[in-house]
Amino acid sequence: MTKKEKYDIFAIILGLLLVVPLLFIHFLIGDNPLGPKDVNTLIVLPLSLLGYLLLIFDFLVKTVKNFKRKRFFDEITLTLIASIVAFIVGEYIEGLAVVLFFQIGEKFEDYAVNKSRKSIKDVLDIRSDKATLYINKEEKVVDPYDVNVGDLIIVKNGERIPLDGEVIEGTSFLDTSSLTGESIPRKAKIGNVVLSGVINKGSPLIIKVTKPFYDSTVSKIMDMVENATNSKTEKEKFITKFSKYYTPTVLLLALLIAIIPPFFQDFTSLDVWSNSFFTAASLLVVSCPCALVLSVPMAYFVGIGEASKIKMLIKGSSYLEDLAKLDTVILDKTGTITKGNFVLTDVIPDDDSITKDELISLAQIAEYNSLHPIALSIIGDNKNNIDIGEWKNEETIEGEGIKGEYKNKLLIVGNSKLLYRYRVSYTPCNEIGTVVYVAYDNKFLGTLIIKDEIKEDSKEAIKNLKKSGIKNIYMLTGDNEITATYIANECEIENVKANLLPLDKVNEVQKIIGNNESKVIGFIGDGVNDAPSMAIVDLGISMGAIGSDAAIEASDIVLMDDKLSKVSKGKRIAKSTLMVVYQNIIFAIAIKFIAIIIATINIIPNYIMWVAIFADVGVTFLCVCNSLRLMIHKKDK
Amino acid sequence: MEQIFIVKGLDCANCARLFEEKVNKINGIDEATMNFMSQKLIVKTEIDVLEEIVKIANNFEDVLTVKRIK
Repeated sequence: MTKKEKYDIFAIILGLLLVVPLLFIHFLIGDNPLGPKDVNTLIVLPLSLLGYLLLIFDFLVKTVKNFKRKRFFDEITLTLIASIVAFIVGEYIEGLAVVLFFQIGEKFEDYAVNKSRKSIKDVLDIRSDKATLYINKEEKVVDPYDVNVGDLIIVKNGERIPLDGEVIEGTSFLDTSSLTGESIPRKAKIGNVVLSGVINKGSPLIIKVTKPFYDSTVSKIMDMVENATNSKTEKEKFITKFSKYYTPTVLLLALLIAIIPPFFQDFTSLDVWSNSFFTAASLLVVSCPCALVLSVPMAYFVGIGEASKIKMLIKGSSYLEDLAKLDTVILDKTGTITKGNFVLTDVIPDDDSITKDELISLAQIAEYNSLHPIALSIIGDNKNNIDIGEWKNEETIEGEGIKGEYKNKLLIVGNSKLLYRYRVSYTPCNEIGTVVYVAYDNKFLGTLIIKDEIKEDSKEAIKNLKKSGIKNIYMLTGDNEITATYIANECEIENVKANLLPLDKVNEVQKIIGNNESKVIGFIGDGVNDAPSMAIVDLGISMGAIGSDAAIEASDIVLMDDKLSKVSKGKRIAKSTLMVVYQNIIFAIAIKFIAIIIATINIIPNYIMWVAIFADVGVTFLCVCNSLRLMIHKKDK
Repeated sequence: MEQIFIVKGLDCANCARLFEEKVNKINGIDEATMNFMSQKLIVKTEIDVLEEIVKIANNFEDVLTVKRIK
């Protein structure tokens, strides 16, 4: 604590110690006809003034500065004027109370703002503040901003990788939990791309930097959350506008109340004038829109921070609002509901003319050059043993399969559409999974079945989505009907569209948008292949996209891990955030409005300053507490 | 073009609003948004406005610091 802060706290505590007994004295003796005047001048005035003078220093300094800068309606100046008026008209305790509670309010605001800022930083700031360059086997610690692309850095056991890069020496295990939430360490060896933010859990790695610090994964993540609240929502714009007109209006009203009523009463009476000025002074206290201007953006800030704690990055306050209202969800199957790990589970030769191994070998030849997940699952770890010397004229038919010539005869490997295209008759397979048919020399040879697993949390996640108020859930997939239906039944998804080519998916999404009377439609997918779909829905949610700039770019919300269950959790946070925002707006405006009315019709002139203090500091306090409430976690069910 | 500044030292949310209003009045700025919580000022403009913003900041409060980060 600095000296200044210590002094402020001392003054506030002393002020409180004075105000409380003074109020007692006031209530006990103040109304006593035997000599309230004496009590007031001999006890209340000097004690109030003592507390007041200790607290007022800052106000005076700032007011002088404000006047120099021609800012006459600053809240500090207005509070100071109100307190001076209170002293002049003989309401000493109120004079002290106005500055005292203003100071308390300020201190509390500072505390709350810092706390919420820190809360986001603590969780998310996984940027390193140093990097160790590795030049000619010598180490040199530098600022990560000073590391260039192509530089070599060394990262030792327990250290965080500061910049994105590629391993060129060493083998180790990496703890990626801060980025992906995945708790199992991941192996890193020469040639692997490693992302900044992960921790080396093994032997030293030498890494060639591929991205400057400001472009590295950690900076991107931090930026996304820090900039999230920059685009203002309609509610924030409303508040800005409201505040712009609110203060001048209330000040004008104060001026009118100070001057006009005395003319209708006895305008030669000093009492009438002081009553009138005191009421006007109380309006000066009400005129600050702080409660609103602070608490609403703060609620969004805290809400987005809370979402990032469950590894959900929301790119803007308006997306947070969309998430709260989300009622239709379109899910991609592979990688979203299922793991996206394809495994060859079954090989079915059509007759005895070919063995299982021969069938696999043929398929492997055709799939050799493909990087499609299905192809990778067929090839497995046999890539080095495949002889493609006699494989020619390969052609990929998107959404169907691969054709080419093997030993100068036509080899086709793909789904039913491909076989139909080449007029090869085949035995349809009704197994669950992705079905790959193999035909050679216009003869159908057999079938390969490839399966993908449903993620552990998918079923529960979809149940929770429904519970959280999502009415329509669609699943889109390029897979066949049987597999799609199987997965959909397992996960209790009612609407399924199968056999979709990438382009069909976008059309299908378009159709859903057209037919639907939903408030907000969201698409959940991997972000890379689904970018076009994400662009046309209200809310694009990508999962497991960390490391892919394009995927992060395409989506509005990024799930750092690939758990579908985070969507309903995030929705809950978004809903409570929005609730807090509404509560704050309504509560703050209502209380201020009531305070203004009470002052205007002058029903409780003796207590009006207390009403004003409550309408200013009290309301700010309650609204800010309400926003901070979002940080308190109920135990997850 | 978007420029981002870190503005530290704003006392209260309402001050941030007033500061934003002032920055918006600079010639050549399309839109300026001051975010009190994240302490970032985002300015849409085609010209270099740092100097003007620093001038406004100095006139606004003593302890304001402005640093351009993008």
